[in-house]
Amino acid sequence: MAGNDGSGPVRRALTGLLDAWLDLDRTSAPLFGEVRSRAAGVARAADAARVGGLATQVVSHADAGATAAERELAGLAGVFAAETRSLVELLTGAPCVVTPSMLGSGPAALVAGFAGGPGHDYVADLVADAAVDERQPSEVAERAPVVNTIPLSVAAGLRAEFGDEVGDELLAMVCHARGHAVQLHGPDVPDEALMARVSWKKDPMGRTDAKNSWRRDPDGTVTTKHGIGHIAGKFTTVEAMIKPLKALLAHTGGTLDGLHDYLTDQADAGRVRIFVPADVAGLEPGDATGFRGSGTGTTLTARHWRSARGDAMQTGGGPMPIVRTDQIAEGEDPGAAMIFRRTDLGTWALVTCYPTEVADEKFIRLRSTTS
Amino acid sequence: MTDTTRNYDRILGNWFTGVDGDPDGYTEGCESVASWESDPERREQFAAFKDELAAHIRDSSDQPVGQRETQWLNDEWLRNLWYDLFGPEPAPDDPYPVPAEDWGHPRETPYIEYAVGHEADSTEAERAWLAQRGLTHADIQRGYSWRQQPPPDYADRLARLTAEGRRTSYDGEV
Repeated sequence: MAGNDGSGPVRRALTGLLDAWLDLDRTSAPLFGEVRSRAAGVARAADAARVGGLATQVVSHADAGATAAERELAGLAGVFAAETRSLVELLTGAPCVVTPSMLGSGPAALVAGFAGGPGHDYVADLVADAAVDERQPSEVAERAPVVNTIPLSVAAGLRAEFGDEVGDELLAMVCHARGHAVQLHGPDVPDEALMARVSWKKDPMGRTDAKNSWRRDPDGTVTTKHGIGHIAGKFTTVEAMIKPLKALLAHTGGTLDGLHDYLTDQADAGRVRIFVPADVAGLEPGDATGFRGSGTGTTLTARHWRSARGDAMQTGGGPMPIVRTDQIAEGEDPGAAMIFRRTDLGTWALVTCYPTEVADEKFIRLRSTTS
Repeated sequence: MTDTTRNYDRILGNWFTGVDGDPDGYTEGCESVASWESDPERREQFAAFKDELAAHIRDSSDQPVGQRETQWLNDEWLRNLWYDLFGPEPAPDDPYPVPAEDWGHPRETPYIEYAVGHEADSTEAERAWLAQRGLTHADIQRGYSWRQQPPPDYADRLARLTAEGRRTSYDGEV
């Protein structure tokens, strides 16, 4: 694979630049406050020892020194601002105007320094997430557990919800060899595996086929084609994971025959994608969790984040920042996406089922049976 | 064409939209074109889908999901889909065709993003997809996925197409 001359390296550079700028902004004000307060402490001691003019001199010298250093750092903030503007203009393709904020005035002031427009929105999205982001280096991702089993709790949960007979039929549908709902989005997937999935595209179930195998070389480069965008999520309990299935079964008359007929009717070339809105499924905040790329609020910024991840993988770079998310609590039109596929035997397998922050309108949207 | 048909929505919705949530479905769809076109039971509906996709590219008449993006971005996404399914020949009457030499270097479509990796780890379907487009793994230079700014006459064109009843406008489309 040849090099990457596009948005990936630019987005990585912007991420590093904002890290440094925010760090400087955060640390410089307390530092100078500390210099002044120590000078005041020395002055008080000198005063107590009756060493005449020294008290005032210490304070004014320290103050002058701190002020000079602040001026230097303000110049540095100006450099950060100018560099950030250039990178943001490259990424958005639109002009961007910035007035650097006073160092130490905080992230909100830093963002406010950018005049309204695409550049402001881009920086605002990144800075908001920078306050809470997490990073998983690829060597940590390499050690993240891979698990390819269906926990017994899934069978127990299905039987408890649907009875033994229907529960077992649904279990066969959920645990089909072509499916991965439980292994990728079930409650037992550990945080480290979700972080490795979104940060480094590592398959949580460790498949070794050409489309999912994952390799980290000694130089830190990571190679895989595992299909994952900028969000990796799961259901937090078996009960939550079953909710969309329960809603779908209720919608199709409560019987497996009804479900099969419905899927057959909706299918295109043996494939069906359904969106079950959270309120129809009864999904609530806390039923889902996961990680999304930091600063991925729009199609454009998400695309850039994925491109930067690809660049980090290809060059053995550091991790892109990620943020924990609860898709149901934070989504604008949240719910669950379900993907079914007809097997060679003519039965239906659940390929996957995952929590999502926003509906895809071209998925079949399940309507409530009561409204 | 002001509305999408059920046939169009069904194929798009079951395979191609939401690519970032279900990249495998998108990839598999792209790799199924030849078999769909030769399947007597599917040929006609897929040909109708192809015609309709071209019409939506021509008329900017397929609105983005949730109307959360500009019409231009959606048009560019459809151009990527067209390339991923049918290759570098632009859709008939595409008013803003992508220069053929841009595909794969630097223009990165969803198929290139998700299905094209290192040559050493490549799949047969992936190699066939590249070969059909005259690309090799060494050619790929990942740059951008769409032209960010619409052409200068784009807003006027949208207004005209809307006035002619060939598309429906929405807030935030430009």
